[in-house]
Amino acid sequence: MREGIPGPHHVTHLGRFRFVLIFTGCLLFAFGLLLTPPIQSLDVQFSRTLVQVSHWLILACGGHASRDAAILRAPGGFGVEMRDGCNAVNVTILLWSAVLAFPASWKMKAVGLVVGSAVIQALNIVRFISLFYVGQYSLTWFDFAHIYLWESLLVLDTMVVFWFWVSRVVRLDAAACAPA
Amino acid sequence: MLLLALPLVALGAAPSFYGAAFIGSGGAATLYSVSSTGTATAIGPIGFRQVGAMDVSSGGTLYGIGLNGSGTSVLITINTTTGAGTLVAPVTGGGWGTGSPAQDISFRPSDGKLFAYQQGTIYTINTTTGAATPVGADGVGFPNGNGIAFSGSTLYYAGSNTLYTINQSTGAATSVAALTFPPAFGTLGPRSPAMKFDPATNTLWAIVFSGFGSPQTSLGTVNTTTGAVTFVGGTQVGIDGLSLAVAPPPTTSGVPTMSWPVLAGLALLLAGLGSLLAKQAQAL
Repeated sequence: MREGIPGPHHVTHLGRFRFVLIFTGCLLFAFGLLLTPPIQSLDVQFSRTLVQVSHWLILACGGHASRDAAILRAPGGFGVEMRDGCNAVNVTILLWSAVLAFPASWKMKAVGLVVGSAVIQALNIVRFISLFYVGQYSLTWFDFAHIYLWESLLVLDTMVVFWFWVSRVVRLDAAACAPA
Repeated sequence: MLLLALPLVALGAAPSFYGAAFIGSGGAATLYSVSSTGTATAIGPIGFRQVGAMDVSSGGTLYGIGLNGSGTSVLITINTTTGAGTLVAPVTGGGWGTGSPAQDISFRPSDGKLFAYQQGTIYTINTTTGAATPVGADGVGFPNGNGIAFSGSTLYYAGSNTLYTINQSTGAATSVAALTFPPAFGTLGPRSPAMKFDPATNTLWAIVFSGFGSPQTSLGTVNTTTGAVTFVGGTQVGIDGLSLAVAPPPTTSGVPTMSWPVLAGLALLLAGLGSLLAKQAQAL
């Protein structure tokens, strides 16, 4: 190997550092943006929309609930509120940062962003509705489900979504590079 | 003229209420705290006039409809600690009388939709924009009384001395029973200008006026089957509409997606997994 030309070992390390660098940069940028007043306003509106969707789903399935802004309330009085940090935007930002940092075509990145966001948000709505019902049944179970069960499931979900997307990217790249 | 609007704000065996009172047509309204026996204590000025209709949303916000300084019908929220009202929006559209307040309002428990009665017509009110959408005329005209209240999914309406149910799709009123008032309420045309249902005690509460100008004002309960009204006690003297509203219990929990330490942990996991996979992908 000639001096000055990086070998495979250097290339792979470069890929790792590049990923960590872009991932960290995206995280800092996105969370910084999330703290600005215009985005905060959109964030609140997004939370209300999620509660609206949850409310609609409950009614469509024959359940009973009333909605007031970002609060979903049971006829018995128990209510869950989608406050700042409850709408899975923070988790979505993590996934977006990872997808954007990973070496892939822009088309595949777009697919990862859209599908990944949809999966996380869908799961968050399931989480919100399930906590709404669990809380009516038992506040002890509500705390357990909220603090331990759903946090773990969301961590797992994000990792699996990212891993699955990377697998697709690698498979498509391999297929594209395969000799005819 | 003195008007009161009373929403129920605490659940339990002995509910308490808020009331908005004003004297004279267009008089400034004041928020009152009212006990389950009818005793009223002033909280503070609302800052709007003729607030004769109030109800508490499922989220615990006290809403009212009154008139602003220019005499325009407005939807407001009311601070239950100070009594101060905050403008939400003018109530307009759908034939709503923009120079008149509502006689009574009530939130539908199943979906939180706000229903209002104004001069013989039932409306729904958008609590963000104030837009009024007519449901329909009740077919009864515009008699005395005119309190409305949801009891579960049923909307009751007290028109003069008759208790009705309201069809929530057409606004049409159907007679349930004649309202019978014992002499304790007074004998000069007793009527119920405000009603609200308390699910905790399964009781339909009503304000009853007797007489005009400075009527005897009382708190009572209504039997929704027979129409018999039971006297509970005297309350703040008023002349026109009153309303009661049931407050939600304060059990509302936020549900953060994940705590910051877990979020940081997930970031590290993603960084680790991503860099590992990136290395493998480049090595291919």
